Amino acid sequence: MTQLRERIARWIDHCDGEMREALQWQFLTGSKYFRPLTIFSCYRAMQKGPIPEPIMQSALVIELFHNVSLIIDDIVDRSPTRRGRATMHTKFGELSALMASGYIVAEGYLQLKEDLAGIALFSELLKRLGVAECLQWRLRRQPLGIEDWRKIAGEDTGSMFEICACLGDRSGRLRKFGGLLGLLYHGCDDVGDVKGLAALGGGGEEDLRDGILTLPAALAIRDPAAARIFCDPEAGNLAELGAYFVAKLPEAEAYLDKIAEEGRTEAKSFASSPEPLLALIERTRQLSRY
Amino acid sequence: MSDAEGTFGSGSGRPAQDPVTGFFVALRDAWLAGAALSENLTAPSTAGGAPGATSPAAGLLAPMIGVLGKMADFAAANRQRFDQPGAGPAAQASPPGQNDAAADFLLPVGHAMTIAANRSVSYWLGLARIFESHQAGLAQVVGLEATGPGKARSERLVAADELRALLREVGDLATREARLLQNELGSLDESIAQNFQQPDLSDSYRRRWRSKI
Repeated sequence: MTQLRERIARWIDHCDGEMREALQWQFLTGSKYFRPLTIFSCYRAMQKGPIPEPIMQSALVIELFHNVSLIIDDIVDRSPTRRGRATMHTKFGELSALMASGYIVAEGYLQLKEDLAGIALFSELLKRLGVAECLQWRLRRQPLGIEDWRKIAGEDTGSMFEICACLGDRSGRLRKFGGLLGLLYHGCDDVGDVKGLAALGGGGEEDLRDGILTLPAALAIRDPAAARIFCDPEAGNLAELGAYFVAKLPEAEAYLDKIAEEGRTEAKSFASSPEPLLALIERTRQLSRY
Repeated sequence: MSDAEGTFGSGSGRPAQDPVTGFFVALRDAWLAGAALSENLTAPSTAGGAPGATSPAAGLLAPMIGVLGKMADFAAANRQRFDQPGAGPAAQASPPGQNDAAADFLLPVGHAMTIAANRSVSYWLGLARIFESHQAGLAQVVGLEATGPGKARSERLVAADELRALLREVGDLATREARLLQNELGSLDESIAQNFQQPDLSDSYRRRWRSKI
């Protein structure tokens, strides 16, 4: 991970001076590098020996693309802060943030060089992320269920980790595992937000206000009273809706345990050495348990 | 059916069977049971026939049962070789004879059948587990259907969600078992290919089956 951090720093040093400050602001603070870690773990689960160059390159590019999704999310959500500091658009303005996003994507594809399989996977990721954001927004404030949450989360964070697994493994065997890990991550993030945790970057208020279907929301709106406020937040009290969500936290945690178990089964069934994947699941599962 | 049983080798009388042999013996028993049933079903139509005439079902099954018996014997005799996929005809010189071709092809076929049977059993067990875990939800769905459209919309949504979860899990199970089957058959495929690899090739020219990165 140190090597990856150094690569990112070197890359920023060679970027255009107009972009450099904004990129340093975005990349050189507080990242958990969870996606690169997923790539490395999936590689270790299937292969022996040192991490080869294309895998290291993929880890760098996934971190670039992940940050693009964060910059866009922050603009769309009008989030003033992330990881305890000003978001890129708050600090440098929307124009700079949007242009930096395009700059990073172009740079990501350049970094991939001749890795055609990697290029195909990153293209799949960007397309799916775009579709997922539109889907999630279109389906807001609707009385949907857990299965709908699974579909949305599976295309959103799920697709990101699915691609990470494919980039690390390159045989496609761990694709499903990656999807489940992403689903788990998304669910832990949802639960963490309701618990008011800072560990995952916060952001629960926006989801509540916008009527985004989170895991606690999907469980809570089974109650018609909660569903009424969720579907029409102007008419109800958001604090009351939040209380419904909090009441469903134990059920949400139990559901996350079930997803974690699905992930473990998948890892044991398809990985040559499942240990790094099992550790990844434990680490992810802890994200909602602070 | 006594004729058919007589076509078997010594498979049925082994005190301790290895998995492959056990599988074949189990298959044989199943076939025998099916044949007996079939014979009973066709009994009225053949009652008027010539005395001692074999029923069509028994006539069809007897040769198949014979083949299974032979395969079971063969699997037992070559068990040690079967456990060592790297020891192919080139690396492990068998005494020249008619068993060589059979060892190269029949054993993998037997292995493939074992893999397929295991996956099939695993699928049905998984399906049973899924239905068990969704019993309450299914009862709720059936209850809602019985009470008609008067039920609250929220209850119908919850029931629909339960049903969708059940369908997803059944689909996921089928996909998972199919992927496992594909992986296991892929490994078998590779072991067959390696058995036929020339032994004098240096490591750098050895066939690789994992994707290059």
